Amino acid sequence: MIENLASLNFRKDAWGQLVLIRPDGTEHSGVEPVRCFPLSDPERSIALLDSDGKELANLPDLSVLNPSARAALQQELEEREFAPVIQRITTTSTPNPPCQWQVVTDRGTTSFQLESEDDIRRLGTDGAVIADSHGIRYKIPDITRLDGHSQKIIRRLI
Amino acid sequence: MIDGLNSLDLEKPDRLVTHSWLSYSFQRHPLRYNARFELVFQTANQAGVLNPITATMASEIEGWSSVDSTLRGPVESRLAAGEHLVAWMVSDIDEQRQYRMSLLALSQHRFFCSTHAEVRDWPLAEIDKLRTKDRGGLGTLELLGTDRRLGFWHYTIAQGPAALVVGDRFEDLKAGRDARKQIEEDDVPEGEESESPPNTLALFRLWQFARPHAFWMFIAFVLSLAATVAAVETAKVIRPLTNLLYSYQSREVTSLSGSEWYLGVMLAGAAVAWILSWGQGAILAWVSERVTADLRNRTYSHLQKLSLEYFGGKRTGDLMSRISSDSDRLTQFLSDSIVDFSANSILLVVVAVALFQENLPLAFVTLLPFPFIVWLMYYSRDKLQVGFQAGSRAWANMTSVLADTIPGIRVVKAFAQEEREIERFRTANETVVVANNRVNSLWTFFWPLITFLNALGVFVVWAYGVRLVLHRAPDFDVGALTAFVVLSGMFYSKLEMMSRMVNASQRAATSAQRIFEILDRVSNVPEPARPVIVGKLRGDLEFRHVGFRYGNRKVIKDFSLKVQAGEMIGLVGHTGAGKSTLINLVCRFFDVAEGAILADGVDIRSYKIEQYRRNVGIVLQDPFLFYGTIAENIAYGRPEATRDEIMNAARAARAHEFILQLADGYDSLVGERGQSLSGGERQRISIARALLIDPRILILDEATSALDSTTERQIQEALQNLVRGRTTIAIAHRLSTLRQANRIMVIERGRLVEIGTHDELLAIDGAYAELHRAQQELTRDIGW
Ligand SMILES: Nc1ncnc2c1ncn2[C@@H]1O[C@H](COP(=O)(O)OP(=O)(O)O)[C@@H](O)[C@H]1O
Ligand SMILES: [Mg+2]
Repeated sequence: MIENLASLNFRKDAWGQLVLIRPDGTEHSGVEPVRCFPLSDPERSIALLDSDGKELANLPDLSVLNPSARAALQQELEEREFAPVIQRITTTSTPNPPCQWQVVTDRGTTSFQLESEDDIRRLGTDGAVIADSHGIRYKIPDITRLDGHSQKIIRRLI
Repeated sequence: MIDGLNSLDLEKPDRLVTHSWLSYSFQRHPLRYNARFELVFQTANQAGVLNPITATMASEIEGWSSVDSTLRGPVESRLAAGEHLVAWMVSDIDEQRQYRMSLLALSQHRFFCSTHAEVRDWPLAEIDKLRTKDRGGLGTLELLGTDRRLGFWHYTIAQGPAALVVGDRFEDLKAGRDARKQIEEDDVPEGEESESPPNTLALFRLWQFARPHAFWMFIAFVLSLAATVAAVETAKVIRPLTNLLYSYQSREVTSLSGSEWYLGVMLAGAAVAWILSWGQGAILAWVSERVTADLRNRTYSHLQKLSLEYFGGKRTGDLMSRISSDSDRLTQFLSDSIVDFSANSILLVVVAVALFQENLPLAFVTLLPFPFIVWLMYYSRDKLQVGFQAGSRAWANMTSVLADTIPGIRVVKAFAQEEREIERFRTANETVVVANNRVNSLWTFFWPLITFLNALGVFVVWAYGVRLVLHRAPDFDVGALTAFVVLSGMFYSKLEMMSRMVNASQRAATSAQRIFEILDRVSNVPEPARPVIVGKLRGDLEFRHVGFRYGNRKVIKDFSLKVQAGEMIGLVGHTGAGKSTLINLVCRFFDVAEGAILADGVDIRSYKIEQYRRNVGIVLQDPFLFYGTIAENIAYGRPEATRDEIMNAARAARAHEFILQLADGYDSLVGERGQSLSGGERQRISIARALLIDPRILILDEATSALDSTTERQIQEALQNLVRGRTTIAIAHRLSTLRQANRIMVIERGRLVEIGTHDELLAIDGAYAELHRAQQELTRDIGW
């Protein structure tokens, strides 16, 4: 495990892979940052894995990095995450699963198949995470902030 | 230049990297893509004569014409003469990871990307590799040049199969392979069509279960109709009787003769109503019991046929409560409420008609509160349904806590977490209370309100009647008023009963919906539409580029292997490497996401599941025994086995002797999940169970891991005879277990990394040799 986290650096190579530069200048290409608690505590405990899946370092949070490294890692994390945030549920084919949901997300409108109410997981007191039939996750950070119609749809399922 | 395949200028053929297969498991919606991509290599002309192929060729790829023409058009117009498309896919997520479409297409010379803004293309010669990867449901196709990445596109997993084909065709083009053969290999046997669930209200769908009893239901209906008419007709004697009494009291008449007749009619009416409703009640109670029993059976048998994937995501307690308590609720509804409902609604009509016959304006006044009550019932219905759903869910949750902790009681006790489990149950129980209280508070509000409105209905009759009598309305007397009061009382009391139905029907609808949710689930391991009949298999196995994933985690990648009948293959690798998953695929507990597994040269998806599994004996990592005797457990796969056969199997599994030590020998009960036996004993029984069905393919998944070395050696010696002539796949951590194996394969993270005999693998000094060294050291260290 790498000790001196503040002196880590990152760059992207021509293949679009993340390269980790150790303090001593050695490089690891194809490094993957992984959030250890992506749902319950996404900002803390971020592991850096090498291309074999071995842990190189575990960052308590991003602030331990120097500013340029932090920006690079933040960018990389954003690029590899795909969890649209649901802003509005437009329609559902039937009130109860299995059903097709039409939603407006922060990444545009889409629709997905909800297989069962078990695929809706509560997060904290007001949040929820929905997994569609393909395993894509949609987040709702705060149900109470949705409009009434959307709230009604989701509340009857949790 | 059309026959570009063979003359493709491959700059660095040695740099070609074997195509990495994406493993997309469309477990829930098996997407079959084979038909969509018809290849066009037949146009390659060997004689070198130019074929007049135009850009319209593109439209011959199936599905192509369904693409948005603003994306498709620009690509078509760019195609040179003789150039045609071989594969395409839609990238539905852009670089900023927003939902936006672009079209990616592959011709025999170029790779195209068409967005709404522009079309770009890259000659194939510049592209070194097309790489697909996926993470958390987001797929990425990368176009890699020799020195840098040329571009990348995202897609949702729904586009995965298409991405796979694009990657595949690219490989074919690069290698100059004939892709038509490939297509045939990819041919996936068609699964049985399952009808899509009808989209109607759950309660109405119960009709399909009630239909066989339609005759009796009709009889019950006629009986209840007769009972209703009898009750109303009886009420018709009220007016003359009251008037007679009234006249007698005001001394207009001196005799009460005729009153016996009226009283007799009333008594007879009551008796008839009693007999009729008795018959109707008995019939409907029987029918409803039958209907829900059928529903339970259907649900359970459907549940048994669902694939393991379904159970993986479900909680036992939830399933149990659906089949038991939800169906019980339905019985109650069908026997009590539906009876009342049909009888009462008939009565309402009949009474209303009688009221109108008696006095038109009074009838109107009487029915004044009626629409309002109906609206209220309708309004409360919706609110109640939500409440009942929450209630059912809370109940299922509580059952889940039980189903989770009772089997796990040893762990609970071992970690002294009884208090926490009590608390967990209390919390679950409290949610039930909260959910029910919500319904109750709704209902306790609506119910008295409806009762009040009903009383108001009768009150209006009195008030209006008093007014009529006061104004000496013609054709109206105290008798008429009394009859009206009785009739309207009847009307509103029935309405009150019906409004109670709202509650019951909503509760039942919720339960019905929860049950139908199981019934509507389609198995991910479908029976073939045109099954290949198989008796005994020879035992040849072949894995062809098998890929598999759990959810969006790739577990098996591009796994290819041929196993001859009778061969014993050892399977080693770190835990989590995908060994058990691989044999799950062989057993068809799950279906491969791509590629195919063939037994005797036929895709195993073409066999009837039951016939196929008869040929496969499996000893699982954690052997599960059912409640019953040891003999029953050994004979589980072949209940008709004789006692001698059972004993022989037990002997072979080295279980015979320890069984004889037990008080009741083969008749000893093993308890739920075999908890009265030790781990090694359970393993030996499950080996006997697998051997008894005399399978052509025997699978041992760490079957001897809980045994001491001596017993293991004994079993191995026995297996040596039994394994002979059977295809055996044995997973083991102790390499010594695999001494008999013809070949040993090493799996690492879902990939086959080494295969060969023990000596060969030691000679190449790779992963196997390393494992071997590690174990030898361990043996030396602890003298194992
Ligand atoms: N039902 C399942 N759902 C999701 N992931 C699973 C499931 N079963 C196994 N896995 C995962 O798949 C990988 C391979 O598991 P398995 O085939 O059981 O490994 P092993 O080689 O030890 O038998 C593991 O990482 C495991 O976590
Ligand atoms: Mg295993």
